[in-house]
Amino acid sequence: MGAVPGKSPRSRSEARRLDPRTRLLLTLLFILSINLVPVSEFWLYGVALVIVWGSILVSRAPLVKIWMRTLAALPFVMAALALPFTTPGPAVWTVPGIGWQLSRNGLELFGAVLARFLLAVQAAVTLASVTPAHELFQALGRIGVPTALVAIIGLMYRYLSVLGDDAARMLRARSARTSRAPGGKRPSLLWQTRVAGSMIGSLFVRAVARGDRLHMAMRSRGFDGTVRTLNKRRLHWIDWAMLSVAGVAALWMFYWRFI
Amino acid sequence: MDLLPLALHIPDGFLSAPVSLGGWVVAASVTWLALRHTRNQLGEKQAPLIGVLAAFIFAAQAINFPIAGGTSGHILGAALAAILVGPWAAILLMSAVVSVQGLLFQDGGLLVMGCNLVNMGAFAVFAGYAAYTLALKITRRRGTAAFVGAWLSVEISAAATAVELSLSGTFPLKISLPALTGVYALVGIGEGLVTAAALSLLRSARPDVLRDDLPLPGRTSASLLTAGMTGTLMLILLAPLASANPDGLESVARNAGFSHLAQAPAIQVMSGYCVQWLGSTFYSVIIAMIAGAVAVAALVSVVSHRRIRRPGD
Repeated sequence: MGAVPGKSPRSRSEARRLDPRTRLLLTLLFILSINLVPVSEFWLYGVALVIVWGSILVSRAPLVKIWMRTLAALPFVMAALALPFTTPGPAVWTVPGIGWQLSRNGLELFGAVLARFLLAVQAAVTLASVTPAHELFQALGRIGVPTALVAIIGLMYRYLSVLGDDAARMLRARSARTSRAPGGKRPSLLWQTRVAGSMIGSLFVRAVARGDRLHMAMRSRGFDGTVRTLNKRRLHWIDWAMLSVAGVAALWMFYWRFI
Repeated sequence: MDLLPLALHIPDGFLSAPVSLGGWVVAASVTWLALRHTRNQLGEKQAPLIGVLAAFIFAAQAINFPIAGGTSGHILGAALAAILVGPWAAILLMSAVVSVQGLLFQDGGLLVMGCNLVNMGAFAVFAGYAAYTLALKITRRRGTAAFVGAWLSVEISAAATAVELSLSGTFPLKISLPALTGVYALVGIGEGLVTAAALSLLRSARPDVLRDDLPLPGRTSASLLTAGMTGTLMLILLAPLASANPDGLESVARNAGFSHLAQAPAIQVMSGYCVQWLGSTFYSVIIAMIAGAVAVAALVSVVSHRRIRRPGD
């Protein structure tokens, strides 16, 4: 749980690498742009696909991981599968027996939602796998997210593995103690939820105690509520160039769609 | 298979750009208010305590319990957080959880994260908290109140998701609202039972943990926000009644210019379905009115209630 997604080696190309802020903003602008593409303009999704796969290649993001994560997000496609039937439009095909109508507009919308979803997931996985979590959080702080919130997110991420391990130990203890003989009676939902609730209750007790200890530890090391960072990297010309291109593309999509 | 509460994490592609950006505006303002309130209450303890408690919510979502048909469910935790640490701190817990799930684990999209923050943060937390305090006043039983609060928090969250999906022109409200609120009415039972059980354990085993230095609710502002949000949600849900068009929401979307389905032939074909729809629209409006009435009653109670009793009194 606590594994940092992606580790970028500190190599000679460090200066050439895009700033985490740029990567975050580029990903957001990209997802915004593909969401602005009109439903029927499918060739633009092809362009977007070239951009995503190009950036995956350039950033040397782990391909296997990207596809694993993409597949993990696939259950949502099941929800989209209803689209061809729920969207009104000229019927293309009627399901024999039930009478459900497959509409052309629905199929187009399904294709568009699927394309946007897959492109956005791949872009997001690429961002997360080439950017260490702490750099991502720092980037959040430097593009205007309040530092207090960034500190909360950072500490949460740090303690995720600790409390996650606590939860995992509880789950192991529960399954060790609740074995059921073959053919035995299934415990009731009420009982199951009471066990889960008690686990969550004791997890809360531990979390509050840990928060107290963490607060004292931070206080004794001089924490006064402000978060300071040393890393004051500046944006290179390449960051500005990429951001301008993505910004112009998003504006163009916006103009095309609405004006 | 841990599928159910995940469906509240809307992925990218399902919401239109204007709806996503609107979600960001609401989410940013609510989170900013929450930061200010908890900062006043907690001082420099804000970051360590809220950070660790956010990790607690994340871990609590990993504790699953089997439900029917070989699937298992887990809780969202918004109502539990609101009851334990007050609505403003709970907003921050949920914001941290939802944003890390989206950024690092791709549970929920990046562009639509604003809407996810609003649904699982603001809506779930405020609705859950308001319902909890109201039910506590009526029944005087914390377990029942926690169940009601947790159930309603999930339900409102699902209703808000349905409204956003329909505003985006992805699913019509007549399908998304009954489907989502129907499924989450069942999922909410698990959420309610687990939340009540967790509170009952804390009350009997460690009453000292629910102590005074945990963040207090910011009452007035929380009530105002609940009022605004339930009002908006009701306005959107009740639009079908006021509109001549059978599905008012789609016409709102069309007038606002962000429905890519607004094609004349489609509307003509749609008008053939009017009679069939009326039934389902009618039911969805009824559901919406009940939910709205509960929310407004809760709101009135919260506003008129001078001193909200906290767990552990």
